[in-house]
Amino acid sequence: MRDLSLHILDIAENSIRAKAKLVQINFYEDKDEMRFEIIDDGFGMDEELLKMVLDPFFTTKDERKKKFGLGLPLLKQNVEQSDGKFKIESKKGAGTKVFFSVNKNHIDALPLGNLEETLWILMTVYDGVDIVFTYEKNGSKVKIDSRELKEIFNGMNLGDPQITGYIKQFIKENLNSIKNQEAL
Amino acid sequence: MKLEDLKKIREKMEKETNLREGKGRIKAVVGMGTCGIAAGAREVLSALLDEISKRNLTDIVITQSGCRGLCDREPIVDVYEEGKEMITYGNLTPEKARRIVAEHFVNGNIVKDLLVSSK
Repeated sequence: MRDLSLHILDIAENSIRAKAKLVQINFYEDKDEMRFEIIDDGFGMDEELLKMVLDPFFTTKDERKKKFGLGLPLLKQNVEQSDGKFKIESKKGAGTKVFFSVNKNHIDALPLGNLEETLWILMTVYDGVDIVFTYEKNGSKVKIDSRELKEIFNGMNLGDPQITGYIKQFIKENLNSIKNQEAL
Repeated sequence: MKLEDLKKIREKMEKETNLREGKGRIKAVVGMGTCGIAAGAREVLSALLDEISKRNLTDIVITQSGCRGLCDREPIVDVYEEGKEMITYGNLTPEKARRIVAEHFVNGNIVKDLLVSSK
């Protein structure tokens, strides 16, 4: 996985497969660090399962021939090799929280990547789930909430060809309003 | 762009066009498991959405599925069309995805060189 935005998509995808109704993606950035929380209200996991998800050769995706679940272990490995932190907490029946931080100055740190595309895809092609994204930097905060967008378009699918271009533009402009600021 | 701006866009659209949910003549399903995402499925999905949005193809629905066991051919798109056999395109890129929209979804011709299987 080339960058953080793809890992975030992969983690949120796990949340959605765990039947989450709401996935919160919180992003905090300062001069030296990027921190992320991905919090869902899906099935959650017991302790035993939680240990297994960090095992590179475990997956819950039974339907598949190759039972490799490499998403989380790869992120954990990369983050820890580049001076960052990784933590996952889960409670069966309550949901899962993934936390990780990245040291921006480390030579092996993964770049952020195209977060705008990750958010657009998450808000448009997954049915029955809402996404709330927040981004805090230099004391300002941006929030993009798919529930508010759906309300404006009277519950229309945000991936509908008639409106999805505007959704993309909305996400991009709001994200860039804070992303392009130099972190202090 | 603020939420109020989106509201204005919706009001304008309601006046000018008949804003309604599409019927879904064609459904295109992109594999978005870890294998798909790592191979570039997000960029393919984004290109498909972008293309149907630009062409305003309201009868096409773009959606996603998990890994479907063809990891070495990712990114993959399954195309379901009323009254026709399901078609699978593989090893896609954003450019190839845009070709599928133009040649298959608009003109009705299967893009043979991108085909994985037809069953």
